[in-house]
Amino acid sequence: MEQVSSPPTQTRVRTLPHIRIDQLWVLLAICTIGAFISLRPTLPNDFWWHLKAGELVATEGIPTTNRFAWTLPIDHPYVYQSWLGEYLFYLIYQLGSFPLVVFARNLLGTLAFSLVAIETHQRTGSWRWAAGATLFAAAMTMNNLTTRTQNWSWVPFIALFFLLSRYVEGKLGPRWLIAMPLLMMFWVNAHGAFVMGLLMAGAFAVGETLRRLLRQPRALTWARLRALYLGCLGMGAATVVNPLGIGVFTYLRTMLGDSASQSFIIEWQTPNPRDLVGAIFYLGVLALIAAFAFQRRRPTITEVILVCGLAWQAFVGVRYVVWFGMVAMPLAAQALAAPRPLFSTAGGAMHAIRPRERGAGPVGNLIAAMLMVLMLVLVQPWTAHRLPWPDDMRAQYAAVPGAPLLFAAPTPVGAVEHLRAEPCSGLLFNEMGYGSYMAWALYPAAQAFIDPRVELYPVALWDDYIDLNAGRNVAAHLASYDIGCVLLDAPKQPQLAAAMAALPGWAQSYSDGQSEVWRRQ
Amino acid sequence: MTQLMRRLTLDSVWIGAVVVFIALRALLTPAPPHDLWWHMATGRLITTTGAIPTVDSFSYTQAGEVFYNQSWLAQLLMYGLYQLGGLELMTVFQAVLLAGTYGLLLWFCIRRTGAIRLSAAIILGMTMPASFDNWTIRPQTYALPLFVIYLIVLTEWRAGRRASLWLLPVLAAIWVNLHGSFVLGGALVALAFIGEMMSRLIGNWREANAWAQRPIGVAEDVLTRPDPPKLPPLRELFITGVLVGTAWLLNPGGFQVIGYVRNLIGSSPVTQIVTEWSPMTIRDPNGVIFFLFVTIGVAILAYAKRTPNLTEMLWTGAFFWLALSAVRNNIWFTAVATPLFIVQAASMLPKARLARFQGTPVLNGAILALLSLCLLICLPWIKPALGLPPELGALTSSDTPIAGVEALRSDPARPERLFHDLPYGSYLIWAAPEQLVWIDPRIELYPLEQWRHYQALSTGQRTEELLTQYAIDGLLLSTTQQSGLVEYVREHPEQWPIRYEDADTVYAVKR
Repeated sequence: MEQVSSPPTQTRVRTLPHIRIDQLWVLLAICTIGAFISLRPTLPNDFWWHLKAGELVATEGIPTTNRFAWTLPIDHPYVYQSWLGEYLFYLIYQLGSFPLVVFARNLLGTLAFSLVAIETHQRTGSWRWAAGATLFAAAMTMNNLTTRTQNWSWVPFIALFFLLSRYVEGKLGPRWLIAMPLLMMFWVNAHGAFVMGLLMAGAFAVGETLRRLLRQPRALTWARLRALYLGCLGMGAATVVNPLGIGVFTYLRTMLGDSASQSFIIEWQTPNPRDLVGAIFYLGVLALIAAFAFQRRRPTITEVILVCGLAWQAFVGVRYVVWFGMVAMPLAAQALAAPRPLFSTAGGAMHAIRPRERGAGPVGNLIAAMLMVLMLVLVQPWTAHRLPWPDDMRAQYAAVPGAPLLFAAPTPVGAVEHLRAEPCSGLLFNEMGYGSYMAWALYPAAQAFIDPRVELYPVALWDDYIDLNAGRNVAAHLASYDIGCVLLDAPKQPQLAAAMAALPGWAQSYSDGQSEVWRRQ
Repeated sequence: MTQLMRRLTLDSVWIGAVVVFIALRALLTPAPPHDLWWHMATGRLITTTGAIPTVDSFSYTQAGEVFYNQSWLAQLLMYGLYQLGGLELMTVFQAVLLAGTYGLLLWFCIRRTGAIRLSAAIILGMTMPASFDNWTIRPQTYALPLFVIYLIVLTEWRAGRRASLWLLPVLAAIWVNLHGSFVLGGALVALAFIGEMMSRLIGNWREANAWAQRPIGVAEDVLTRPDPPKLPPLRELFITGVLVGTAWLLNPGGFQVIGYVRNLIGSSPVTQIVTEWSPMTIRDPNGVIFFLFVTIGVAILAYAKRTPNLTEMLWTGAFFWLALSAVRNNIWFTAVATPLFIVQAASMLPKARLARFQGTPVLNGAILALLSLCLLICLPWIKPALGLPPELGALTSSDTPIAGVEALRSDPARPERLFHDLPYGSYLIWAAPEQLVWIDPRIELYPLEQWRHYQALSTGQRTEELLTQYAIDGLLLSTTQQSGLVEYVREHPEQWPIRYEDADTVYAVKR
């Protein structure tokens, strides 16, 4: 009897994920950016006082007054517009202390630039272009990566750009626009850059309407435009979902018109081509000009409005360069990359034409990808300090207990500890950034002369502060404010340090090379 | 007469408007003292001594220090003009020079595009506002026509019209004795060389690629392969560049001129203190105009229907960077960017341009006559009669201390070591040559420390220490620029009695 052989069983073969060499490029870019963000020391200026405000939100509700400074009445009104960002930082702090807060910054930054890469890939079809554009965008913002409430704006900004771009391309339906007001409800409470969302949505609405009116190819239909208008209106309406209601715009107007911020804070000044970050920004502008000039794909009206608007803002102040980079670099890459057909004329064959690049083969590429991710993991707050960094690198960080290699050297940990142990018998003058740390570490035991809430203080106070920084009329100013102690940053305020050393009746009670405490005798 | 009437088209009104408005701007701008008087005083010194000075003889703080006086030819020209017809003639010369230079630029743009109104509109609406802050009477302005001629000659050469390339070394020999910007001519030649070389390489590469991907099986395709485009040989440009570099040596200092430029660019700390050398900022009205110019340019480039020339893009990019790094450089950027923007914008215009409305000859003639009349009444000899406000009607700007210096000169007990406002130094060198100055606009002459002291003293900081350190016995101060020190003087009338005072100037002498 002939034995009937059973049919061969179908065995599932497990294969390694295919990672192409061009995908490795973008992974390398994202991991490099992520590692760079992770190793950026957090400056005291916009971190500590926000964290303290978050604590107040958690314990007492949203504060509405000055609190941290003695130069103004304690109940002097002050708007804590970023209350949600502050509260979230404080919640994260409670969950995992400072390392988790800094990790949240790292995560938000890496996610935001990953979205820049995905956006560029969507526009160019190339991971290589995505890698280049993302690196360039990140390089422009290298001095804007400190831990602060602005971190909460990164992802909403690029996510909104992604959403609106896909909607305009027809890849997302109108129902996705519901995300616009939802996004805004979070954003308007998390950080003041929510207005960028409104401007971006407005640029899309205006640009796409013009395209429709000019009957340009692939312009949105009136039906889709109506949905876009509704999304924009919803977004606008969502801005009132905050403790100030419509008053948030009054706050913004005050903030943007505040002469102290505009005059004294470097972040609000035009980028300077003579410093590295300014030079990279202007190189980005040049790259964009070249991309638009030698375009292989013409930018749409919407894209030109967006880029010109964001470039103008970046010319106004360094702090806006981040938004320009995130939008302009994908658009520059798109203008230069080969035109990408919207529809395949050869069905699936279109993908077959392109040879797959494997680099070192599936195993080699996978190992390379894992190494890159490992590099990113190793520089996270819990492990970074265990790595053998050179002394120069370690010198950039302050020795904050429980948070090694996280905070910048100008964080007056030792000096504030000294002031806590031996409190000042009078009022205290301090460096501006130190005021932020004092809000966290000394308040309410002691209050600051000034802190980075620039718009809170009158210009006359800033003038006196600048005078003292420059070592001018030190004795007179200290006497007029009846100051008993001076907490200064010696590298940042050398003229004041020199003046204090020469001032009769004052003695130094603390110095660690960075911070000095002087007391009236 | 009929012929003339036929020529009175609306296009001619546009051209006339460009020339007249530029000339008007020059005629109605009072001359600031900074780079006017000390250059003229040097011209006077050269004329009287018959030699170009090599050391400082105007200040008491750097007396005897080596000073490379590069702009001697411009200084002689300025002094000669002044001798001929005073500041009035210099102002008219300035107006003619600027109108001629931008008229040349306009002609060049029209020649390239045929778009008269577009060219005129861009020059009037964009180039003029972005440049006119730099249109003051000084050697730099005399170098501007040379820059524009370089631009035109190099562009013409690229277009195959090669006859005028010889002009560049000849102009280089003049430019190197006029103003330190002569190196920009060399930069234009070098960037043109790089741009043309890259264009050729990219063109060859594209052609070879296209040829390699042609459909196979065509036997006679070798015969159909197109000939390479006929381009002017690069060696011409290379030789011109070498000749331009050689022509730079035709100056009294020979190779020293290169060291002078390097020193000027290298004194970056000083350049950060002096406003004109500081980076462009949007907080300043001129910065706003500059960035607006750039933003509109980006939009034009994005929507142009032709790919721009690589050389012109290199020029624009390089001079954009130069303008960003110092306010005073935006004049060069606008000059190179204007033709690029106009050529690109013209590509968006409909082809049938000639059939458009040309107005009526009578009305056009009337407008041109009105423009000419404006020009006439704004001449420096006539405009004082118009009763214009000093910002338009005066020949010199309000920071020229004419009355203050007169008071100083008539003071029987004049100070020996005078401290004063920076532009006052320039005027003092001219009007009171016997009174040595503390500082003046020759930024490369004075060390950084002295500039810092100037800033500190002017704002009333470390006043007594610095007054003592420099043994200053007299003050000629600007009430607006040195209010801190003026306040100090008013607070110490016993020590610093004021001998003369007006709205702009305070003159005090130490008791």
